[in-house]
Amino acid sequence: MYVASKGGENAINAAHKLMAEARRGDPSVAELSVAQIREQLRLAVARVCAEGSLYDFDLGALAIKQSRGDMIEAIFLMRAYRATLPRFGYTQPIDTARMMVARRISATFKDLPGGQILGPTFDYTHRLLDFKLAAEGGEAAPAQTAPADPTPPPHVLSLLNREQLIEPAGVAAPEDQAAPPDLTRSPLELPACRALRMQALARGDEGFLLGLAYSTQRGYARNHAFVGELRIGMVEVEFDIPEIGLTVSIGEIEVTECETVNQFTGSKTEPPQFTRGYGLAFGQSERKTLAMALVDRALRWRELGEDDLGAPAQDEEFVLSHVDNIQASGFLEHIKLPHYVDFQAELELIRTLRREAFERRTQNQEAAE
Amino acid sequence: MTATQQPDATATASDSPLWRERAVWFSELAKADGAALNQLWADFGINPEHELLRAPEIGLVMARGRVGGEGEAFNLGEVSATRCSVRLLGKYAGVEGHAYALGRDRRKAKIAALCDALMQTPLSERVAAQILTPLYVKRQAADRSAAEKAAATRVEFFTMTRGED
Amino acid sequence: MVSSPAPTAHSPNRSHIAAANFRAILNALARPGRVETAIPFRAAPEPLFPAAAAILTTLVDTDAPYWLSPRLRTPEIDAYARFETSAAAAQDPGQADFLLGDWSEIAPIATAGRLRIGTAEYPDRSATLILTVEALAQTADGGCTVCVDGPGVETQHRFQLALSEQADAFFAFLARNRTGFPLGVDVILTAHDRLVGLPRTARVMREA
Repeated sequence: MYVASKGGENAINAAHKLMAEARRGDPSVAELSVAQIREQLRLAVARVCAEGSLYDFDLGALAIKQSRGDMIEAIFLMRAYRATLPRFGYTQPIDTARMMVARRISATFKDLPGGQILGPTFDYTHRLLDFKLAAEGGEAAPAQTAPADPTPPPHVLSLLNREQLIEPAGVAAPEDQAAPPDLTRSPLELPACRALRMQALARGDEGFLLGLAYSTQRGYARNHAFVGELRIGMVEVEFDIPEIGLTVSIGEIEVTECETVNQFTGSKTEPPQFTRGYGLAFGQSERKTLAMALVDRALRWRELGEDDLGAPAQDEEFVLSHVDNIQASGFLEHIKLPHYVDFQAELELIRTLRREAFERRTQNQEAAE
Repeated sequence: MTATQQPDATATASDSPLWRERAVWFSELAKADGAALNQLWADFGINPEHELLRAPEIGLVMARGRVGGEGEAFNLGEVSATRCSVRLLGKYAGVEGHAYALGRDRRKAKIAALCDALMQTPLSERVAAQILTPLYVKRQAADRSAAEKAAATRVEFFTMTRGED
Repeated sequence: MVSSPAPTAHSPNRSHIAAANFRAILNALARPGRVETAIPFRAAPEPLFPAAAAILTTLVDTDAPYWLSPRLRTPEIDAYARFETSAAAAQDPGQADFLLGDWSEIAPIATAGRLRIGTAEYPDRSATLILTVEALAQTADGGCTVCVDGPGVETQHRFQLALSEQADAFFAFLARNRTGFPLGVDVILTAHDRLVGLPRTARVMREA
């Protein structure tokens, strides 16, 4: 129960002023610009865009600055902002096979067309703090260059698909098929189709997905995943322009795509064949898409005729209802707001119960005497 | 208008498109770096009389992906975008220009819509040479640089041969 | 190359017009039978009424499919609607959230049971009919007098309606539509810049 109460305004105003001062920190230290955050904290910005479900690196950087680096608060700001804007329409599905890759690796094949391109990665670093970065004014040495192959590398899993060693990538929908469901337009309905699950996971919390994916690796619905391919890069965004009746690329976005190859022993109807898990997210979001692919695969148990092992990652209702960190933090954090009346009721109840218990004990003692 | 002769240097990049198809120039304008387009437009020096059919408007497009890259489509998330529509007045009265571009650059959207309109007039060759081709060349150079940096991180495996003899 | 008909330039206070029109539509549906006036954004091609054009522009976007009756399906109106809504008109009236046209054109669709009337869980997933009539007036202005009561009406709202074709069938349809509550369609009558809302809750009676 909620009852309006007054008297907090001055305290709230003062708290907001204090927060603004705290956000600025020590004024003798130079202020961060949004451009600095966008360029130098790029992976944080990518996460805010992916989970805020709004691709705009300038806004992501602003949200991080405003939220003092609280990522979920920043994601909340992105979600709130996107709710104020009109939607012009839906793009054509992005074609990740035509990605201009900055990074592309496979853990399943050493030699593959297009090669292993490590890109800007933390892999193979020693995870030792680099005190050179703490020193001021360190300019990075220019990156090396090498002649580039102009043709985009093919999807690794398409090589396996050629021999039918792996299931197809999904059901390609014919042009006239109904539009995929949209969580931002209609409430979640279960059971969800894979398209709806994908949308929920793509905007879901990285930490939650990481935990779920890890649980499958530790044995809660183990699905034996190999990273078939992980690629990061720019893809074109094609949009049907209603005014001119043409489909046109209106820009490029950075995405990360992860495809896993999973073990599958076959069923009564299907011969043994590898299966797939899929992850896709805005920006350089490697851990997120890898976790997403494992969770996607775990959620497909029914479709693949596997057993329900009662594992959390297999439970669609559990995963989809709890994967959104804005829903979760909204409900969690609201309990810190005033619940004076609820609590008064609880207090009253406890007092009554205690009084009754006390009276009973007194009566029993009197009876014993 | 007094058109000074433009130097050839900007006019030809050997692999530049011919700018005959609207989708091609529309897309080049959409992908343009806002500051670069603004500078090229200022240098172009012709600001045709026009009215706004739709003032630059910021909104969203819902980006879609496909499961496994080629399976069923799903909604990945929204991307900020700006659109603008103009109609020329005066000499080329009635010609409409439109623009859609990712991002939130209103000025860029308006210039792009004006360029789209001018591309349907006899000024098209000048717009192509002085605005579209330089944009294309700049974008190609940036793409090539990124691709070459990525290529430098390509692993060159070498196999140790075991002595058999 | 001129790609669409010549609309006049957008008013700079487009968002204010949108807000005013939204209010007019809201009032019309909240106070069934009251005549409201819409403000046109820009001249709509004939025979699309300014009020119908205003509703289209205010309520329709890519997520709310609309359908144009054959009489409204001119290249000019098509281009106008496409520009204002960013979407092409739906081919199938059974998929549409908004249907624009004369009653005589929409009646067969209604008779065939092809209008979206919502589901028990989501009664809001239903169609809104934006019907073109010859005239609407709050006071006696010719045509028949229509008397409305129901939610949003304190005693009675009366307005004049000029509808020459299939008027009997129209009132019979409204009566049937009300019996299926909470399922059903909502109706907005338009004539020039005027509009009258007849939501599924309205009881509509024609006076002799």
